[in-house]
This record gives sequence, C-alpha cells and structure tokens, in this order.
Amino acid sequence: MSVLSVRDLHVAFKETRAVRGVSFDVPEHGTVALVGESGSGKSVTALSILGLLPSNAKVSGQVRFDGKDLLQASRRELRALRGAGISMVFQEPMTSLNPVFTIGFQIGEALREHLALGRRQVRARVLELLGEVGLADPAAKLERYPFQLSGGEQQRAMIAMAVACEPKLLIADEPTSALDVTVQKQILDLIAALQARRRMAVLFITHDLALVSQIAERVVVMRQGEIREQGPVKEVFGTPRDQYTRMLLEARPRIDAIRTRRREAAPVMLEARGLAKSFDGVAAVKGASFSLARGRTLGLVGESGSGKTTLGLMVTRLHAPSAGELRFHGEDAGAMPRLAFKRRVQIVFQNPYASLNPRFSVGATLTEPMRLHGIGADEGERRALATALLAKVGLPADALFKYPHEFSGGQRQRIAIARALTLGPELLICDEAVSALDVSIQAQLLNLLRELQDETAMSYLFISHDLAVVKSMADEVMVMKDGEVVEMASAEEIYAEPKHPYTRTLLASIPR
Amino acid sequence: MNLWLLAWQRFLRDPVGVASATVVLAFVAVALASAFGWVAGDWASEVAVSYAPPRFAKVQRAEERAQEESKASAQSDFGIVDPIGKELAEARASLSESLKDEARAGAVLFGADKWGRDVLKKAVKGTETSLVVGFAAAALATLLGTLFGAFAGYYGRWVDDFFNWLYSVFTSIPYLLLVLAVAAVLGQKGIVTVVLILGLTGWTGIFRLVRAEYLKHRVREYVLAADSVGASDLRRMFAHILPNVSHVVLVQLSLHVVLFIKSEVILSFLGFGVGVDTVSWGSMLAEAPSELILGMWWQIAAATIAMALAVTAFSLFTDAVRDALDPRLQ
Repeated sequence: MSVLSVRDLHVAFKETRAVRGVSFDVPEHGTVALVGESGSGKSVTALSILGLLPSNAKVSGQVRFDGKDLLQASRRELRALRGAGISMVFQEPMTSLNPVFTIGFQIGEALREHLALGRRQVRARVLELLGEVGLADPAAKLERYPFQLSGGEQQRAMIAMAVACEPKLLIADEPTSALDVTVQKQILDLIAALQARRRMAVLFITHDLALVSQIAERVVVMRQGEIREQGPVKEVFGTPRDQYTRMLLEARPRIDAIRTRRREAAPVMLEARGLAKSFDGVAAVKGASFSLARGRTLGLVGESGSGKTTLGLMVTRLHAPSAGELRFHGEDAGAMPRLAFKRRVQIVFQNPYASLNPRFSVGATLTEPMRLHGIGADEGERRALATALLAKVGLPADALFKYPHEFSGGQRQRIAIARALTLGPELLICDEAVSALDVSIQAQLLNLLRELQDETAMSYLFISHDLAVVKSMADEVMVMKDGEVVEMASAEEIYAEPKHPYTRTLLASIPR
Repeated sequence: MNLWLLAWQRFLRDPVGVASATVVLAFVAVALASAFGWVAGDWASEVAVSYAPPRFAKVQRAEERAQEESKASAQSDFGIVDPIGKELAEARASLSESLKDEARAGAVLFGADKWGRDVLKKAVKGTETSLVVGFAAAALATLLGTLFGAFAGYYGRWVDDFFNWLYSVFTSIPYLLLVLAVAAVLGQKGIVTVVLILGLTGWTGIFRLVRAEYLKHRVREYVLAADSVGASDLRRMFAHILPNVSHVVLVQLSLHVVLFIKSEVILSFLGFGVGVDTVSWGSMLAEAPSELILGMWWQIAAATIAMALAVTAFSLFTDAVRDALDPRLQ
C-alpha cells in the first residue's frame, strides 16, 4: 500500500521541460530517496507534489495521496493538506525560517492553523515537539529567534514544525546539504527516529549517494527530468543496470580508496609557525604550524567556522596574519614583494559562480594576470598562452570569447583553475574547490588537479570539509577545530588510526 | 555573449522602453538642434504683437470683447448718460481695429509672450536649457557620488567615516535651503551655476547606493581572485567592481536627469535659476501667473506640455533601463 503515488508527471517552464514522465511510489512507513545531480528535476518533482511550483509551471500527470489526485485538488484542499497530511523540510534552515518570529511562534503556527488548539495547549505541544527533536533546554529555545540558533538547531526546529501535525508523509529536500558532517549525522538519526516513532513515510531528496544507502529502502535515480533507474537500494547500488547510475556510483570519492603516492623526499617549500589571525578580538585561527614539501598535497579538514579558509587566505597573503611566521623557500613570505609572491602562490575558490568576474570575458580573465605580471610580449602572445591553458584544463579555444554565465559550474571551475595556472605557481591553494559541484564533475576536476600536479610538481594546500575528497588527494592531512589544529598526520594514518577524539567523531559521521 | 548585449536585447523587447526612448531621443535631437542654432536661434526676437494668441485657438478678438463690454455696461447704467461714453467707444473701436490687424499680421502658431516672442521657440530653447542642465548636473552628481561611494565602500575605516560625515552634513540641511545657499554663494546666474548647484548638492543619494554596492562587492570572491593575481586596489575598484555595479550607476544617472530637470524648473521659477538672457521652462512658468489672470494660457501650456512629456518619457525610459539591467534576470 503506497501513501503517495506519482504517475507520468510532467513539469514544464516555458520551453524547458524540467520533469518528463516521472512515476514512482512511496510506500506507507517507507523511505524513498530521490537522487540526482543539479538540474535533474528532483526538487521540482517534490514541489509539484505540494502544489508549490511557481504559477508559470505547466504540470500534467497524476499525484495520488491517500487516493486523492493532488494535481486536481483546489487551493483550499491543498492548504488543508500541507503541514497536516504532507509536510516539507527544506535545504537552508536559515532562509526557510522567518527571521522576525520566534521559534515557538513558528512551530505553533501549524498547530493553530490545523488543530484549533488553545494557547496553553499549543505551548505545551511545542515544548514537547522541541524536546522530541532533541533541542536542549526547549523552554528557553521557545523564545529564541532563528539567528540565535546554530544551523543544526535551526534544522531541528524546522523538522519540529514539519512533524507538528503528525503528517503521513515528510518530504525532505536536501535537509542536510547545508550542514556540517557531524551535524548531518545527528539530523539523519533524528529523522530516522521520528519516522520509526510516528510511522510516517519519508521522501528524501539528495545529491549524496552515500546518504541514500544509509537511510532509504528504495531509491529513484533521476537525470535531466527523467528517471534512469529505480528499485530497492541494495539492488540498485549492488548491481546498477543503468549506465548513468554506474557512473555516479563510481564517481563518488570513497573514504576507503587509496592513492598511490610519490615517496621520494622533497625539499620543504612552505613552512608556517604559529600562524594566527583574529578579527576584532575574535580568534579565527589560533596558531597553526605546518610544513609542505614540493609536489606534495597537504589536506586541511574542518567544519564551518574551524578557521580553515582564514588559514588558506593567510597563506595566499590575502589576509595578513595577526601573529606567527610564514616562510616560503626559507624566505619570510610577508617581506617578499607582493607581485613576486602572488606569482608563485595562487588560489582557487569554492564558488565558481562568484569567483569569476561576470563582466569579463574568459579571455580577459585569463590575460589579466599575465598583463599584470608582464608575461607574454603582446596581447596576441598572451591570447595564445590563454588558449593553451584552456586546452590544458579541457576547454575549447572558442571559450576565450565567451562570458562566465555561458558555462556550467564545472566549466567555470576549470576556468578558475586556468586563471591560477597563468602565473605558473609553485603552490596552489584549493579552498573547497570542488565542494559546490556535482559528484561526476567533482571526480573530473580532482583528476585534472592530480594530472596537473604530476605534470608540474606543484604543491597543493587542499582545503575541504569532505574527508573522502581530502583522502583521495592528500599526502598529509591536518584537522582543524575552532581555530586550532587538533591533529596532523599522513593520510593513511589519520584515516586508519585517528588519535584525536574530534577526528574520530568526524570519521564516524561520514556516510558510507 | 556580453552582458551589456543581453541587456540591450532585453530592452528592445520592451515596447514601453522603446517608445519612451524614441521620445527621449526626439527631445535630445531638439535640444541639439537648438544648441547648434539650427532652430529657435532667434527665440528672443519680437515676431508678433504682445500676447498674440495661438493661430488655432478661438480666442475672442478684441473688437468682439469691446462690443460685449459695451453691451454689459449699457445694461447696467440705469439710463444715466455716461459723459465720456461716446468718445470712449470711438477710441475703443479704432484701437480694436488696429489691434485686430496687427494680431492677424503677426500671428504665430502657438502664440506669443508679453514681448511678442514666439512661445514655441521659447519652449524649444527651454528644452535645450533643461536637457543641458539635467544631463550635465546628473553627470556631475553621478561622478561625485560614484567616486565617493567607491572609495568609502572599498576602503572602509576612516575613509568611509570621512565620506559618511560629508554625506550627513549635506543631507542634514533641508535640500531647498542648501540649494538656495549654494546659489547665493555662487552669485552669478546662468546655466553653469545651476549645473554646479544641482551637481554639488545632488550626489548624496548616489553615494549611499554605490557605497553599499562596494561594501557588498569588495568581499566577493572575484575581487579576492583579482587580488590574488596581483591586481592593485584601483584596478579592483574600477576595472573589476565598477562594471558590476554600473547598472546601479546608470539607473541613478537616468533618474537624476529627470530629478534635475524638475529641480531646474523649480529654481528658475523661484528666480535662482537661469538669467533673463536665456529661457527655461521654469522661467516660462514664472511669467505665467500674471498672464493666466488675463486668460492667456498658451505660455504655461507650452512649458507644461514640454516638461510633462520629457519627464514622463524619461521616467518610463529609466524604468525600462532598470528592468533591462536587472542582474537578477541575467
């Protein structure tokens, strides 16, 4: 018996057909995962179930919930259903909570709306719910505003709101993608516990395949608006029939993978001693010491707020350290001429949509650093160099005349890498350089970075929150927490026998 | 494809935008033709009698008016004989005869003012004055506002404090009072003075917006990336950030043209604007009150229609530009 059944669902926006003939079922008390990369139509599918799509969307097909076709339902019927029959948890807890109302008020809203409870009853019920979703000191949290809670606490409040009226189906749209891995584990455990206790069905939407095997019984793999494969998780993951599913499974970085590494000794290139930075008295990095050899990769792992990005920016001299010392080939990096230093140390940022100037053509983006550093005799030569670099990162020559908005996220990140390479740096800092990308694209870029390293003997400082990605790249790994380096060891060691309790928690939280 | 080209294509798809742009261009063409003396160069010469009515209007001729008046007076004299009534009637008749001839001989299409100058030519000359003042003052204000905003927003700290202090000083004085004070200090009347008055006092709104944009953009990753390849501060400010906030600057420029056209009218109306040797819509309006009492509406009508058309077209054009440049659409 299925609580939700979707049949031949089509959704179109103007000329784009976002969802094309999708059919699947969510069994009662079961969990179904809807998996796909960006643009696969998974979120659009979820929104069309609740009738939450913008008015310019054309929807056809059938969405049956409890025997009723939701696509034919009136606005009133849908309103009565939302929250009470089906409810939803979104990706960004910060933006899906209303910043000007207290948590208690917002959770109580659904109760007042659907159950017609009195004030005292609502308050008692909200307190109960907050306790149920594991918020410490619920009585105090009741009066808090969203910004006074951490990301994990916000998501717990969202979940409390979603389950307040005991819905039969919970739709969770990437509920943990914005959260740190340790918090992600807690939220997943919470959803699983709530599901068992309340016997509700869950439709879990995610891009993360590793999560799927942990939480769902059935999986639906989507790509470009179509279902590529669906079935029980064990079957689909064990013996994938579809080529795309296979590719996805192979592309995901695995924590148990081992990279063959160069073992010969290499001279130390970068050395940091007690590097620290504080902003207005708040310490972001509290004394980090490490060294990095030529042609090697140092992985830097930590959750949001651990100070890893600040450390990366200090190494690039984009932030001046408050204390400590940075030596580059034995020389004081702070005393080196600005341009000379930048030529040797480059950085690739996390968000390829933000790190390229939208008003610059790719050609202008790539020739600017050369012009600033006097590389290439004239514009023609610089263009030729830029074209060669584009080829190196796997982009066609005509990309030179295009603008960033004409490229996908992965292609943009290739452009950002090409820009960093224009100066022929010895050290490249990759600050979450692949975190914003889909797994298949991520794998391609990681391969590109490895090839470039083999070719040029560049050193990498590889910053990421994703331990599996770091493992696949790094020779040595440094773990940061609250501005401090808590552990540093070779990649094998840190994954095989983590010494610090925080490292152990991190490793245990990784979905596999 | 270039983002400017995309914005241009979006603009062309907006019928209101294209229509208003056509009207704006027509005004610019008129102003240019006037500036080069191709039209309305002789606006100051006396081409008709004083207050000659527009040719198309059915304005009562003086002779008829005199007749009506004499009829009215005949009814209300209760039989008392007016001792000079006869002479007066004769004088009136001969006067109206000559007036009629003159009026017909010198009639101009849209009527004439007190000194017999063509109202249409005055309106055309006024268009030149208004657009020159509007564009030049808006350019000056936008330049100041953008420069100050860029420095304040980009550098922050004491630079920001200084410009904010300046901003507060300027905005704490009531606008009209400030304008009048600057007008009094500059003394000399004329177009350059009006441009300086409006430009030097009008940069504050643009400053506030541009500063906010720079605050937002200076920490964006593309600016950090420019820093990491070695771009200097000035290069980051003006080669990298400026093109990305230029839509704000352009819309403000366009808005301020409208604002300053209106301000110039007000200033000239109050007598702080252009001198008597030139004409603006404002000075035309300033002459209007005494004329309206006498039923001579053509001067105020000409100035009002020209101004309303220009301001409306420019406002619609600004809206269309804003829509076309909106970065959310890109």
